[in-house]
Amino acid sequence: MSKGLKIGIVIAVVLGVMVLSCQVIGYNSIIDEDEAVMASWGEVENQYQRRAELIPNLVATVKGEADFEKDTLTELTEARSSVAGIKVDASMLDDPERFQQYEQAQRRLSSSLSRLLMVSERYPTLQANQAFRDLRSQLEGTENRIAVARKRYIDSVAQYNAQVRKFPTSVGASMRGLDVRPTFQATVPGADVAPKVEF
Amino acid sequence: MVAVLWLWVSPAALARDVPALRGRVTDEAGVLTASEAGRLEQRLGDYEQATGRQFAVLVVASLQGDPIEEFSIRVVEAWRLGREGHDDGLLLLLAVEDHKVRIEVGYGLEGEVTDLISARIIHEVMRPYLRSGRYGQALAAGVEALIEVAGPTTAPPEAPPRSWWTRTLAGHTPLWYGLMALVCLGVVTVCWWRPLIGVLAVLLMWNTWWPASLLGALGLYLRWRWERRRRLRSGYGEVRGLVSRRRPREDVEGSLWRGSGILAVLSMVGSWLTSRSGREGTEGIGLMIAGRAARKFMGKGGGFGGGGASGGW
Repeated sequence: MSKGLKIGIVIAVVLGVMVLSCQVIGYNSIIDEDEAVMASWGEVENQYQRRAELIPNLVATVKGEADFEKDTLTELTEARSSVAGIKVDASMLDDPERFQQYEQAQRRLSSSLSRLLMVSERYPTLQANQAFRDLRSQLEGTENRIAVARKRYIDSVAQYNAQVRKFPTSVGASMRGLDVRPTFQATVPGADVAPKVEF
Repeated sequence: MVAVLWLWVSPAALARDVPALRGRVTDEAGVLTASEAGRLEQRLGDYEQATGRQFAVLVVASLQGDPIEEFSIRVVEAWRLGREGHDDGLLLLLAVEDHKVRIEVGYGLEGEVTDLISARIIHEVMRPYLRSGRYGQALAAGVEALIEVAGPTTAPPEAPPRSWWTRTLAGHTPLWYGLMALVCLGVVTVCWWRPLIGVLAVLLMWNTWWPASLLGALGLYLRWRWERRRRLRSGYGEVRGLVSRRRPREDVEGSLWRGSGILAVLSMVGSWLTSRSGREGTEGIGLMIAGRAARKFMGKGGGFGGGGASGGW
């Protein structure tokens, strides 16, 4: 064997070992996982945004009903502004405290929305109002999208976190400077129900 | 602790299972007559022919306690209606005993079939029929309304996807063919003279460009045959005019080649099957074989995000 061939073999082996070890510690695959988390988070944010945009219309329509319960309306408006007060971006995923705060505000908005829809059952003129019915089906649709987006976020974070925590892929993640990400609490039955109101 | 775990696991474990996708119209509850189902199937098939959009109807007897939205999203996640990238699938789901109906709209159709329109179709078009138990008419009217709302597609349906064969072999520039000929020559040469490196080359080329890999495998095989013949001719292994069952030591090298050749072919076939079926592992292979056998209606990888509407009657 000539000297050049030996050097060539050594280089090939070293390269092979490097490539293999990158594979093993998931140096690249953690990036895909991270992207998946970001994408699913983006979808959650989108749907929350959509819901927030529907609320002023809903409030305006309900206000048309002269004797509608003031408390319910005020609470919804407040919940919405508390959500709007939180600056939302992807950096939130690196800050569990802000994430929890946001989650709580959204939860509050969900429950005050469903309360309002529940209360609206008692107003026959509102039920007959086409604009109100349309708004309600849009809100129901959005709630469902939120539920789907949240579930997908939970799934993608679970996968991502598993890779960040487990050996040997944890090595690749820490080399990339990536840490576990916060996730939504598994919903307690009844705590976070979408406003599901039958016609 | 166990109780907590059980609570955690049970919703998924007890969730209603997703029916197998058998056709555009799946009637588990048996509320449709054969002609009603046939007409629906025909209508939806024509629509897919014209626009490429995959609409399907599912009728179940009971949701077994699941919210219809959860069941519905699980169904479309399993069926993957609509074309990948277009996400233009749609499911019309009817749960007879629960008196629930849902329209589940793929991402790509959310602009046309909005939540609002879906809700109106349920409440204004379908509900009168549903209330009087005329499920077939309700579904027919619902499908008609949905097709009308979705409209003719804005883009013409794409040409049928090029076959695997033409995708790799046809429609390239002369330079490309020249390069690939060189690559093939290289791989075959390596396989002939350095079979062990050849096996590596064959595996490597499989993911890049399979014809070179196949030629390489052929080269390996021929080399092995040639080697065996040479050995037989040179005399050892021959006992009383028959090929000895005992393996001379030199032949170990041959069986090494054979073994790695078989391994290479197996892994190639495996990766081919998984890449074709677009899913991972044996499930995809099984699905593909099943799909071939029955020429079934299958989803084309469309995505859903919970758009649509639900209603009751």
